[in-house]
Amino acid sequence: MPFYNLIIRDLKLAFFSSTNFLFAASFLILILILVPFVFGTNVGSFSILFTGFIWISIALSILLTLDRVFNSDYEDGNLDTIILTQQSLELIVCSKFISHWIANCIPIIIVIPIAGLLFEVGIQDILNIILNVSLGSPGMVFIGSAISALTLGSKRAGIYKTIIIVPLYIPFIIFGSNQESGLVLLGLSMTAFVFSLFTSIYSLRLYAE
Amino acid sequence: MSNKLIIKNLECFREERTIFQRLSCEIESNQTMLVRGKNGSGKTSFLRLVAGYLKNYNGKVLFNDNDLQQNNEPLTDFRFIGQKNSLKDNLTVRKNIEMWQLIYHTKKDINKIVDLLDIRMLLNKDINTLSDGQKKRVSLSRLLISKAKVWLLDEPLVYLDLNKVKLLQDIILQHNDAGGITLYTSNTNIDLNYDHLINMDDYAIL
Repeated sequence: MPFYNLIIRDLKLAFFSSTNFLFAASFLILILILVPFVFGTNVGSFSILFTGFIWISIALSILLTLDRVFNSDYEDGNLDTIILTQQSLELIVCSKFISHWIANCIPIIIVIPIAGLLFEVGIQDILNIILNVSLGSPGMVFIGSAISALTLGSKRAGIYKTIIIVPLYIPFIIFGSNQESGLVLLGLSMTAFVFSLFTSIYSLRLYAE
Repeated sequence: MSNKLIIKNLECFREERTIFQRLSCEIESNQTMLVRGKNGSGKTSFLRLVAGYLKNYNGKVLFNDNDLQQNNEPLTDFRFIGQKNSLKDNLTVRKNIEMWQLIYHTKKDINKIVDLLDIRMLLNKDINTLSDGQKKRVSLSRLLISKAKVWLLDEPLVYLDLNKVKLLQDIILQHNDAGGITLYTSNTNIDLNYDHLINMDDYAIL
C-alpha cells in the first residue's frame, strides 16, 4: 500500500534533514531554558507561563519546517512523480499531514512531561496540557500545510506564509491555554481538516499542470 | 503484449490560451516518437498532457482503448521524467534511489540499474557534488526502478555526452523490445533512433 510508503518516505526525509525531530524537541527545551533569565526565579509564576510557551513552540516548530510539506517536493519535481503513482490526491495530502504532525508535534508532546516537572507543574495539569496539545496541534498542521500548498507557485513565500498563518493559529492558542477546552480544540482541528484538505487538493491540481 | 497509444485531434489550453491544436498521431508497441519544436511550442505541455497532469484539453488520448480523460485510475502505465531531476540535494544517490523505491512501492535490486546507467561509483556521493550530466543519469534511473509501459521523457539528452546518449539508446531499445512505447522531446542535434516524428511547430499557436 503506497499510502504508508509515502508517510515512511516523508519521515525518512525529515530524519535525514538538518531540522529533524531532535530539532523540534530541543527547540522547546531551549525556549524554556531562556525563561528564568527573563522572568527571574520566582517559582509559581512559571506554571502559568508554561502552557503559553508550549503552544508557541508548537506553532514555531510547525512554521519553521513548513517548506518540507509540499514546497521542496514541488521544486525538485518529486511531486510530479508522486502524483503519477497515487490514485487520489486526498491520500497524498493526508499522508503529508500525518508525517508532518509526527515529525514536528510528537517530539514536543513527548518532552512536555519532562519540561513540566522542571517547571513544577502538577501531574494533572501536565496531562491536561498533553491532551489539549494532542487535539489542537493537528489542526495547526492542517492549516499550515494548506496555506503552504496555496503559495506553492511563488518562490520565497516564507514570510508571507507566516503572516497569513499566524492569525489563523490564534483560536487554537486561545482555547489551548484554557485547560477545559479540549473538545473545542478537537472541533477546531476537524474544521481545519475539511478546509485544508479541499484547499490543498485544489492547489495540487492547479500547480500540477 | 502489445500496447497502443492513439491521440485524436488534440487541442490543449493553458489559462484560456490555446497552446496547440489539431494534433493527431498513433504509436504502437516497440516504437519511439520524437517530439520536436521551437522553445515554447508546447513540447512539454504535450508530454504532460499525455502523462495526465493537464486535464484541460479537447480531443482524445486513448491508451489500449481507454480514454484517459474519463479514467480516474492511477496512471501507473506511464512514467514521466521531466526536466526537474526530482533529487534531494542533501542525500546520497543511494538514499535518493531508496526514496523512489518507496514512492513506486518496489524493492527491486538496484545493482543492475546502477550498472546499466553507469552510476555505480556515484552511489555514496551527495547529490550536490554531482555534475549536471551525472544528475540526469541518476534521474533516469526512475525508468528502471519499476516497470511502466509508456515512457515520457522530457529533454532526456540535455547534459548527456555521446557515450551516455548511446547508453540511453540501448535502455530505450530494451524497453521497446519488451512491448514498451517511448515518447521523448529533444532540441539537440544528436537524436536517438525514432519511428515517428512530430513537429510541434505545425500545431502550435504562437
